[in-house]
Amino acid sequence: MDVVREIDLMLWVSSITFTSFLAYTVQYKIHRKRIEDEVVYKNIQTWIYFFICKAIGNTFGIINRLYLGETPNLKVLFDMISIGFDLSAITIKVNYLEKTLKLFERPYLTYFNIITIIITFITGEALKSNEVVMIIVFILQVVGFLFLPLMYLYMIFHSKGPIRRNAIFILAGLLILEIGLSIQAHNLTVIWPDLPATFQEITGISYLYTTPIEIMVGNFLIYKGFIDSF
Amino acid sequence: MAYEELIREFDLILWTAANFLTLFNSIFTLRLVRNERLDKSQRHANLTWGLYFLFMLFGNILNIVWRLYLVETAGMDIAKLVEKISLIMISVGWLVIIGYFDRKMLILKKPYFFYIMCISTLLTIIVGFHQGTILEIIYFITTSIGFSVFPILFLMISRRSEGILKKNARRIFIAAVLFGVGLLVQTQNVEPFLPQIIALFESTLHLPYLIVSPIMIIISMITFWLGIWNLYLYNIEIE
Repeated sequence: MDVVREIDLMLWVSSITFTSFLAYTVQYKIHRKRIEDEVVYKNIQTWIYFFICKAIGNTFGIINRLYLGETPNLKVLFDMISIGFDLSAITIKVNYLEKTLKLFERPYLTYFNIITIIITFITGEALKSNEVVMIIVFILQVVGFLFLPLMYLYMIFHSKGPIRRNAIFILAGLLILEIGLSIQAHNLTVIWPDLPATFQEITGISYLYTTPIEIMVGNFLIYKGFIDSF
Repeated sequence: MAYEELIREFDLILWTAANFLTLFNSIFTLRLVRNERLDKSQRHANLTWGLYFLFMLFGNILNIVWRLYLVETAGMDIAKLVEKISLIMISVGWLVIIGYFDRKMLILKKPYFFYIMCISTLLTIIVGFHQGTILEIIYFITTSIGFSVFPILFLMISRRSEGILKKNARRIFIAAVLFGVGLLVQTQNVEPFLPQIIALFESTLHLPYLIVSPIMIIISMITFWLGIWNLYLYNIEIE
């Protein structure tokens, strides 16, 4: 019996259940309240897609990490699907905000993220075996993930009142969520391999537990940030 | 990974999801206690719901702890003690909810169902479990009666009301049935009396019997949430 593995599993299941249930409750609420303002409706709808994609991405991620150790090909595929869904979640929101905020003539940031998703799938096996490819793709993914927090930062500077307050909640949630996902132990093997061990030495808690907790906190802050808007 | 380990983790996954939804429901209802839009009696109802979900949550967590961890590590005596605490928690949860609705609705002249649940809770403390004794059978009968009262109360509300209240009382009825049955049909409860049911289930569906209970609880928690949320949304009081 591996207690650390099982606690890790329980926390991940909790975070996935939480994310899925948030998507479900928000969908149910907009269905019941019959929102007529199309901008508000689309904003909430894209958050629902965001939560769904995150939940699917996290599910593939946890299956990949805990159950596919003996099947390397499937492991790479699941890893790519997981990252693909995570990036898709961001891309859906980025696309919506790009159109609403009218930042550029064309949705360039969306194109960048779509290309990153395609590159992630094309590199495939090389992603795990070649460190240079791994670092390049990792940087592309981090840049892709950063677009959404940056857009909310822009909104914070250009708004006031409840919109600003909600944008602060969402920004905080996104940062916690994305940092949590980016600094998972298996992502740090090249960049900062000692962090998990150091963390465990200082706190006495396994580093594995941090990410699902951060995901739950992040998703809750995001939910708080937009749930008052309807 | 060995098949047994996989089943064990699958069981853990489903129970974690079920418990997380129970936690969500308890937070949701306990937050309504402080909602000033609701009147005093609705707040009391939500406090009762919140306590009910909390007792169920702790009972189910302790159930997983003794079943998956304590039998192997701390020995049978500690495991049995924790199991008893878990069952007492669950009984007290039912006692709280049946006590509240039975006294509020007073279908009979006195809250007899509440008294039955009191007996069931007392038996939980006295009975030694998994031995197939007569006292254990009596315990299961009183508990089953107690568990079935709660859905019956909501079935009655549903039958004598209209519109939103009818629809949501029916939802709570379904949720309560699923939850009660889900708790009763756990492997450790069924195995001493009807082991053939487990064998039949596994040979027919080719799925481990362990999944039945948490899946029923997951569905019941979502249905509970739907029912309670709608009653709260339309500010409807159950009477």
